[in-house]
Amino acid sequence: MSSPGAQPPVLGAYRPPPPGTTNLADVLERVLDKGMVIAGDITISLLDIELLTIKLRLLIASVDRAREMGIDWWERDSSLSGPPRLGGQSRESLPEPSFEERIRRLEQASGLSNGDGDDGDTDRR
Amino acid sequence: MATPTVADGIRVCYLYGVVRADRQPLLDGIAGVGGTPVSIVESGSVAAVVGDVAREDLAPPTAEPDDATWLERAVLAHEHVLEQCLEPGPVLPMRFATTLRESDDVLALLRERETEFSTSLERLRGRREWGVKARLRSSEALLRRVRMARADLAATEAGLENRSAGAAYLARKRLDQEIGRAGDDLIARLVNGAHERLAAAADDSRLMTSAQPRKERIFLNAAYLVAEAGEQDFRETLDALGAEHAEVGLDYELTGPWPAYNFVADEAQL
Repeated sequence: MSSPGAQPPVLGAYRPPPPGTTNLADVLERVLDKGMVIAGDITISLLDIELLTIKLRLLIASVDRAREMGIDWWERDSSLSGPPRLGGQSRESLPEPSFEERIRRLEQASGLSNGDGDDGDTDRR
Repeated sequence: MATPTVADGIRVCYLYGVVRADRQPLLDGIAGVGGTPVSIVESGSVAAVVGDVAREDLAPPTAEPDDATWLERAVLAHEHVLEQCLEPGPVLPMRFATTLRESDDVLALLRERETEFSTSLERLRGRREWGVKARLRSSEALLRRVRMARADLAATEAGLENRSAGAAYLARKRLDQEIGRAGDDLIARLVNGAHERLAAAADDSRLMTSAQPRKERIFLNAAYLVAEAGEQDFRETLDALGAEHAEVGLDYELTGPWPAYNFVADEAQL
């Protein structure tokens, strides 16, 4: 799906995007990796969905590389194989201690870690 | 192992972007993420573009990583809503899956950040983001150009015939490497120059990394924030570059106008 000629799928009920901006790779690159991140020390509590988003971004960017490395954690990770649980699930309470390590390895594999480091900054403080 | 998805029925407030309260988009009939309607939450001089979205719509339906259709749909819907916002005026695009619990949280966010949002929107007023990619059609023309420009390499190449097979083989390998390096240098010089000229015709610019630059032969991937009054000039600069670099096989591709995804990143560091 990262091939430049990739066409967006038939969108059913969606109105098709205007011509000229339909390259899915261009859209993914912006919508998943750019844009404003609402995070930091604001008093509003965001859902833990940000963590899910990070995982998704890693997943999309690095499935192939991860497979090469023998990493298949999404197949066991409940938050990716089903709806995420709501309430009280903070990063600290996430399962195995090796989670951060696995994220780090995936980031390295996908080249996401040498960016602006925003992934770490989306933590609620 | 497709784990059956349990519909938990939890709905969240999906934040697409923030616009000026006096430049609100028309959202009738616009489908957002998950096919849900899109609405406006307003506070003071700013307004949030939001949707009531089921949490399942933001999670993969199965554990199969290749089944990314849901993501494509959601991401395109996100983009589509923001493009609609772009028509009446500037929009601060949020990153995918920026989600709050309910519209009261959005209101609180707007109240808390109104000044920053207004300042950022003011900076984007009358400006739009454009994307430019330079793609090498094939390396043939480029290498031909290198051979023409480098008489020393051409001479070495001509001298290969007089050498023994083994020596010629090694010399050929070294020569190919050198030609390849010279080609890399040339293309880097060309796209760097192109970026400088485009950036000069724009108000701001960002280099973007491409997922697989080598595989897709993309040597420039950049975003430019261009004043509407300067769009003609920017396009002419791009056309000129395309004409100049066609002979080495570089194609320039323009996309946009985009919501200014690449020019709201500073706020991310707050």
